[in-house]
Amino acid sequence: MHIPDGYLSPQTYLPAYAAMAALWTWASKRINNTLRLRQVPLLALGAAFSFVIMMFNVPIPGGTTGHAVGAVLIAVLLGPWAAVIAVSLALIVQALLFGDGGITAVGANCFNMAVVMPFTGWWTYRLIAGRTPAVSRQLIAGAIGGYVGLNAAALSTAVLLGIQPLIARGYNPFGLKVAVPMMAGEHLLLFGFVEAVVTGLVLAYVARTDPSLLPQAVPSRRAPIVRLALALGILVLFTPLGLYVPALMKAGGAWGEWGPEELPAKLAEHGQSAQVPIHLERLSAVWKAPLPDYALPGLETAPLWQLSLIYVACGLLGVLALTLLVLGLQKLFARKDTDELPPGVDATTSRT
Amino acid sequence: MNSLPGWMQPRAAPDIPDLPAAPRRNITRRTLNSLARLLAAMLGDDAIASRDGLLQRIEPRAKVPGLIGLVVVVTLLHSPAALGLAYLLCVVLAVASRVPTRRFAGAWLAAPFFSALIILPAMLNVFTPGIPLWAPGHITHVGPWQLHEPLAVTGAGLRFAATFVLRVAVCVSLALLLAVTTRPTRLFHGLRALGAPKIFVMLLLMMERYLAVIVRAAEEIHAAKLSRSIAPGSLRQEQAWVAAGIGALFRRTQKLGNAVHLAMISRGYTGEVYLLDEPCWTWREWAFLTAMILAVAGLLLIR
Repeated sequence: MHIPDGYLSPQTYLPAYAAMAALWTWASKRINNTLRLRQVPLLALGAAFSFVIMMFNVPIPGGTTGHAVGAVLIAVLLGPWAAVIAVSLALIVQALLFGDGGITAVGANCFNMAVVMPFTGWWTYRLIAGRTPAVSRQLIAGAIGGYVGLNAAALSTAVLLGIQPLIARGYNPFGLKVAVPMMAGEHLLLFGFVEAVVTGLVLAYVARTDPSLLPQAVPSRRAPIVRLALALGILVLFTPLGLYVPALMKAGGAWGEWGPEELPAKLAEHGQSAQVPIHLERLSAVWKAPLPDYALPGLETAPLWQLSLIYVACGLLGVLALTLLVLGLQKLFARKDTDELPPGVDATTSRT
Repeated sequence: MNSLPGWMQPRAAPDIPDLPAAPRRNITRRTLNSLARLLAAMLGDDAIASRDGLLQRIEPRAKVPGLIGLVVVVTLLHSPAALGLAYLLCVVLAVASRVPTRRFAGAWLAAPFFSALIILPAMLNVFTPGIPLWAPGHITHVGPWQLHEPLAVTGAGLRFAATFVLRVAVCVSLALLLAVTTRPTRLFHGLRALGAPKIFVMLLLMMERYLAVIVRAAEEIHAAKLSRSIAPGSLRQEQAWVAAGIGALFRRTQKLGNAVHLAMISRGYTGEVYLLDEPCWTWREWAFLTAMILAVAGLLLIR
């Protein structure tokens, strides 16, 4: 994944350098706030560690070996901003002293392997691992994080290489149609699994032997119910995508979910007799929904933005109805807990 | 200098014998060999940097911007003639800096060779349309794809491939000249001339210094396994072992980092960065930079 000199045009590598200069400055600020003076030796050694893990041969099925990049692993162990600096230093030393990756391409290589990879991998890891130090959870979250991170980096490398024919002639001649499938293929099918195995197994090993090295569970400032409400709210705001995407793609309703009023047209399209099955007609008359198709009756042909607002309102209404239903069921059926916690202590803080 | 005992003299490092080719089957031994090779390269590679040659005499704060500037200009060149001249300049610099021919020619093996392989399809009319020069038979289908015209090598394609490979070769040669004629510590100081902050140079210096320690630790981990195993285990066992090795290495790294931090504090480190390398600018540095600027201007004119 190390791009050599001569493959990228100056119109690509100069902006990459500019972006990295800003990111490096920002990263050192971020680390300064958290690590203080300890940053210097820890970062230098983290960079050396990042360099050396690329040299560990990992056996893969079929008798061959591969090696991991390790950026996601370092992002989990040292934090994503520290990973930006540590992996960048390793890449710079590789380019300057060992000729691995070009000198002009250092900015682009750092962007792919020291920014895209640790951040996508770290986000994926956090999403799955949550805040538990459980070994199995670390294994799975690390593996998926490593796989996602490496493939994101490969895709970003492929895009940088693939846009060259569009920008300037004389550099990498293969466009996106060649570069993306080539890079994505080998990383999705082969190297992604090497990264997944290494990241997952190493995190599981650390969780088993020295859990204090894993990211510490920082108790959130918000109550769990507030966080759940926030997450649901964001999801509800995204619901109009279900209106915009079909409108954009000129697609109809979901396949197999046609109502009696749409079915005849669909059947006629395929040369079938345009008759609604009798049971469908009878059963669909049993219950008339108050808000058919998540829209107000009579407003089905309103502009898209009005429909979206009604869509969001319907989403909120649905969430509210379900919450009330679940709370009601809980009131009705929940057993009285005998080992109740003393007031003021909730389950998340009492566990050490 | 005469008061130093022989083993403390620079260049007293013993010659590192060529390591035997790694057997393909034993993964542990293979990693061990590549680690040993890296260590040997790091410890023994200042043989060329300590020779008395042209580039060795130039202060890194002039050499780094000079050579990297040349690399940037080479990536702008599009005519084979200009690139050929740039390569000639590399050869002259290599000879004047007494870089062994084998080492310099070896730069052709990695990047330009693979670039040539990768670029082969670009010579065909599928990627570079032009006047067909040579057609390997009458091929009109590649797998399921139908081609507009029979597959052929085009003149424009050949010219493109030659320019591309030559450009990669010149860049690799310049990077090699920079790397082998400068000791790593001085090379990092040279980055100051490109605007790298002090803390960044300090991080690179510390990383380079502890890289040898960590490579050594990784070697120990692999040697310990090799000396205690009769036959390799199952795939799953071997993968778990590699992961445990990396995990153990990380714990060592952390321990070492904390120890280094304490050592720095006990020596009065307060977060202020001091670099001990003083630049020494003489007429040589000015002459070198002037020559580089003239070369760059000449190459850009040919373009």
